[in-house]
Amino acid sequence: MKFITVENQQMQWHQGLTLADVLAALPDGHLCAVVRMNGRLVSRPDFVDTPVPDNAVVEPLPLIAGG
Amino acid sequence: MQLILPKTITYKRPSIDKGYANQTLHIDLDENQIRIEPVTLQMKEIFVGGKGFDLWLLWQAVDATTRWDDPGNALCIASGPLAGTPSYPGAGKSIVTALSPLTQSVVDSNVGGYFGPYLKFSGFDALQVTGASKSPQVVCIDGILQTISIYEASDLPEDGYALSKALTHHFGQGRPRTVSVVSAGPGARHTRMGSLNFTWFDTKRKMVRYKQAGRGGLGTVFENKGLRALVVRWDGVSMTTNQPADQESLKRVAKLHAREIVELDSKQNEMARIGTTHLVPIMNDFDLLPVNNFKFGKDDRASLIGREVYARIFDPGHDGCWMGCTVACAHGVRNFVPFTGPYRGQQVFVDGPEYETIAGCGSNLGIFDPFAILEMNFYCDAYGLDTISVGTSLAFVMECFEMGLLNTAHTGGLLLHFGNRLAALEVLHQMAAGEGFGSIVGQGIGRMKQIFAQQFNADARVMADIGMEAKGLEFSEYISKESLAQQGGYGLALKGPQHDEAWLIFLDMVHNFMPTFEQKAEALHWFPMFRTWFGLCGLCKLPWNDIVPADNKQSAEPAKVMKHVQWYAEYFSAVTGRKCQAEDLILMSEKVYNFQRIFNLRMGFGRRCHDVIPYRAMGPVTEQEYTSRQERYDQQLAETHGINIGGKGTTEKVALLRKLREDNYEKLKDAVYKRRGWTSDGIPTVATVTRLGIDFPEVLEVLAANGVTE
Repeated sequence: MKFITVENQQMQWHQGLTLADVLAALPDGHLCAVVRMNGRLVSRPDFVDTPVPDNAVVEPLPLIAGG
Repeated sequence: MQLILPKTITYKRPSIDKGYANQTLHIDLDENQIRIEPVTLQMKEIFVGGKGFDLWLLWQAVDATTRWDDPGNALCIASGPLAGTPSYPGAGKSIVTALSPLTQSVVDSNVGGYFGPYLKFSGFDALQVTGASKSPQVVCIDGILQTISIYEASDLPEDGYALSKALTHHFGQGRPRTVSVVSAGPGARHTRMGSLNFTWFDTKRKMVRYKQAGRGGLGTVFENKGLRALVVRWDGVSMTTNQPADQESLKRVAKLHAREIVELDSKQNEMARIGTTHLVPIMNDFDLLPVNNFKFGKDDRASLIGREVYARIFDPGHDGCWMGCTVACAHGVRNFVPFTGPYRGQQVFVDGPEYETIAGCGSNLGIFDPFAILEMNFYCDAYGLDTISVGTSLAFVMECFEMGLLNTAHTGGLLLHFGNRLAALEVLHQMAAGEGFGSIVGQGIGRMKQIFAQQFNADARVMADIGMEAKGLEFSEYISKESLAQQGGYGLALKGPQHDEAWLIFLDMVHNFMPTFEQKAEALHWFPMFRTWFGLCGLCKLPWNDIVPADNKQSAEPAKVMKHVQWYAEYFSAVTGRKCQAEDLILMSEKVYNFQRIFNLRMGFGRRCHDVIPYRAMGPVTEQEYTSRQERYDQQLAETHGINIGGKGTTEKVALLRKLREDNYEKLKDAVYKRRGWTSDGIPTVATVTRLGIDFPEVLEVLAANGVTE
């Protein structure tokens, strides 16, 4: 069984997993507009098309507050 | 460099008492007069400090007929009662206020660096400079020797960088960290969009560093007074220097906030590593990054000027603009070599860039070269020019050029197409010299529109739509087309379209937290009020909501970050001894905010008709803009508004959308005015000013003169 790390918790990984899937599994995933995955920023418009690799570390960023 | 001393006084520095020096310093350059006045209890209770003190001093100095370049215009600088705490993050801000050359009304701009706290510790909660000298002046407030001196200056370095460096070493007497300098530069002298550089000495790099009070032409007011520099000297800052009422409580809350930032910043926005550059790719992803004069919000080349690039370019180090700030976002670039202008071929240190400069002097000009942006950043600072007004003005000019409203006969041969970085830099150098086409650009968009229409026969109606200014001030760098709340955030901002009052795009557009007019109005009440509070106290807003508690999203109102708001209430209570809760902070701001609105009214502004924004800020002006996002706009017309768009051409759809959006903006104004306790003309009512305790006779007089008597 393979895993990813989301907010310091382990989540099961499967082939074809996307960031949209990961956030849908979180109770407050709908609040998330941007995540950092393996050090790279990914924004909500790209969640559906962004595959999550095995062993990925996903950190949802807080609400974007602007300048 | 020669400094001749015609005037000096000695004074007795008071002890700081619970965050206040309890006196203000007044310098009149007409007569070389230096005066010290007490701070009254009423000033503290109503205006708190910082911007509040500035506004009160400015109100007393000017009347309705005062113009920005009258000697009577007062340049006011204050920090605030919480400023100067070395361990609380973001506690070193100054606020500068004056009548603006761009807006003709009140403008305020906040800035880091050591000047404000050093000024207070030297004995002054605020400094007011009036009058104007025919010869260049340098003023030094020496809190160590307890002297105030006005020097006649000659042979000073011309640009802000060289001048600040020379003065830091001259007055520092081997201890440069004791000095902070405020200066502008030739660009401030020759345009209306001059900025001020505030310095601190970076002991690690052994060099002078800079932050800018950019907005509204305060540097232009500074230079117009014949001021070349303000210098303050102070030595020794600790947790007790500000003499807090409750040292233990202050230590506790400061430690909580500082530690949280250290723990969480690296997991959140990484401000300590990349400053505000993280916003570039995020804004681009959400179609919010201004591209080609706010026409578009996205460009495939944005990755060339984003966080990953600057993360590699920034000089590593812990870079706070005030002592002990753990946000530490004041990054810079070492050994940059400009390829144009007076520093061409020389190695320089560039303080920045921040997001606004990257977007304003980069993507909004169609420039996606990080080094060209660095060069614009460097020269704007050296010349004393606001990177936001420069960027937005140049973007307007470039679009006018591409639309054929301007041609090379007007621009002095410059091909001002989007993306032409050399032409953009050439205009910048011209602005600093007050020469060529740059001398027109330096007047700002409001005046350019008139000049282009009158002298070049450019279409005034088109320019009204695409010229991104409101109240005379150029927009800061966010696309607001799809966020009605942010349109209000820009259009209703007291000084003009700067995002420091309200940045609601994500809450509104991305999260849809405020679908009704009333909810948007509530946000346009709470957020501007809370953001105003930072300016009253001498604080930076970044520690409030750019690094948030790990459990913040589980809170009832995550956007407000109420845990931090409560910490700020505890911080205020601990320093001043005035016990307060989170809601009291909003009330403090409401007093000053409404006073500033009435100040605008006194100066002939501050009504509904002044809260207008160009249509480019609301929606697609051109068919090209509409078709570039056709699916979005068609869907809104058909599904949101129930319009049958079958058979309708783009021109008709653009007009339909415009009518709907302009109507919505007016409805938003109605809702916001009602929430704020203002009349439908946008004027605070007598009941509102009475509730807030700002019902002074002269305030009621202004209201009555504008037909408001209850």
